[in-house]
Amino acid sequence: MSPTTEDLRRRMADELDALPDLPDLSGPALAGGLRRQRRRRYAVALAATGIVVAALVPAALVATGRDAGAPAPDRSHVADTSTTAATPAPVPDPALARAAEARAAAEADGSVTRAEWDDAVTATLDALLPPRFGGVELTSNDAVTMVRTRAGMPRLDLWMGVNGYAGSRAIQPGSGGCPQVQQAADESDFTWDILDCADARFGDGFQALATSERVVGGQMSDSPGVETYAGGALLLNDALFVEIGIKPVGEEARLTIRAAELVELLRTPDFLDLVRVGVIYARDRTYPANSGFERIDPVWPG
Amino acid sequence: MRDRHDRQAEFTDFVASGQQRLHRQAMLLTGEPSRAQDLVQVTLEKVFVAWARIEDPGAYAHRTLLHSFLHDRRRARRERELLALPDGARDERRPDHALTVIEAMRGLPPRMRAVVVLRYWEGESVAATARTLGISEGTVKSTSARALAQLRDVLGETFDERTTTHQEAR
Repeated sequence: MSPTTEDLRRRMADELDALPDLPDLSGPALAGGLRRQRRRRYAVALAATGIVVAALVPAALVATGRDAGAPAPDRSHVADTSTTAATPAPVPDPALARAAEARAAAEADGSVTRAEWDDAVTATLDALLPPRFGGVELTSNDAVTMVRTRAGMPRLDLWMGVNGYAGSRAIQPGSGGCPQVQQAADESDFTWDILDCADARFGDGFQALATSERVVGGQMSDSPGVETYAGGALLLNDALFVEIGIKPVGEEARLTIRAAELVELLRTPDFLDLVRVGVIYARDRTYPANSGFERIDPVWPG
Repeated sequence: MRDRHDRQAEFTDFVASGQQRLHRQAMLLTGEPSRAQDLVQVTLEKVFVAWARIEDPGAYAHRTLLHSFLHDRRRARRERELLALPDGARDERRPDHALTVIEAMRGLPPRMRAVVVLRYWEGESVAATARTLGISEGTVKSTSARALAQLRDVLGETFDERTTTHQEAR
């Protein structure tokens, strides 16, 4: 290596030395590897029974960083270490295939039950969250569908609802994007810090917004002076309001998913398909007679 | 014959000894801590799936990490829309910010970053780099030269100068 490229390597080393080490990933990697093995067996079983996985997977599905269906050809046991130069053909991700099947099963008979909705949400978020969270598992069957990540430092609790809304779109949370949220935070009479924010407009009139926030309860709140960290993601369209609430697990824990990652998740075809199923579920669900809840059914655009 | 428990123990030992090296490569490739961690975890999961049949886990992990990075199309779209640095690889939001090598690397196309990591961080030969990436030696040489030129453009001739003012992109 020439003297100047030695300079480059030295500078790389200096910067990398300054970074904190990764936490021990052996546990999450082991758990994730076992899940990949199970999903591969599941995918093989699907193929063996004649179910065409590709037919359940949206056309936009491509090999992702969590692809487990077909890892790069293993040449490590032979002397030749050459690998294919061409971009490999997209390989169905078993996690996404499982999620697509859950959504299809939920609406197969034209209605969506609570259990079917729970399964669809769990499978879809399991497939779409970044790999470092190790997927999710269903944790609650109370008022709202809630899941918890299997990994992450800290783990995250997420809950999701699909609703309609009263009033004009312009007054709904999220309609003004990050500037609107920041303005609301600035004008609040308690400590409300927007730590991270991302927004986007896409597709057929969709608006997405995601935030990570720090709140210190005001004197009139249920927990005055208590500091909490939380986040959320909103998806808005005419007559459609989707909300994902996020809370880190543990006292004083902070969110470790970025707003940009959440917005990206909201934009995926798989998540939008989940929302479409959620619109059916919202139409079919029942509420207690005395709940006082103003029922406004969401409407899928188009 | 090793049983499953033995294989898992071996894998755990491998992770303990090897993950930081993978992390460094992942940081140079992705330029962002959370994506680097994701990349390392995905790589280790794939290594575990293949564990029973691989002879050199380190080399397998190294190649798997590179290929996972290069073939992650979500990463490509995310970088285009959310994280790509402007021309000149200067962060417009922080005009006085001294550019780091990791940040400067983010301004390179993904395959060029992979060549830089293999040639100048891992110290691999042109031939070995070509084999790992499945490209010709000529492509490795030309890509290396362009990468060094781009990095010198934003970091200085010896990659050690701190830029505090915007340099015109060439």
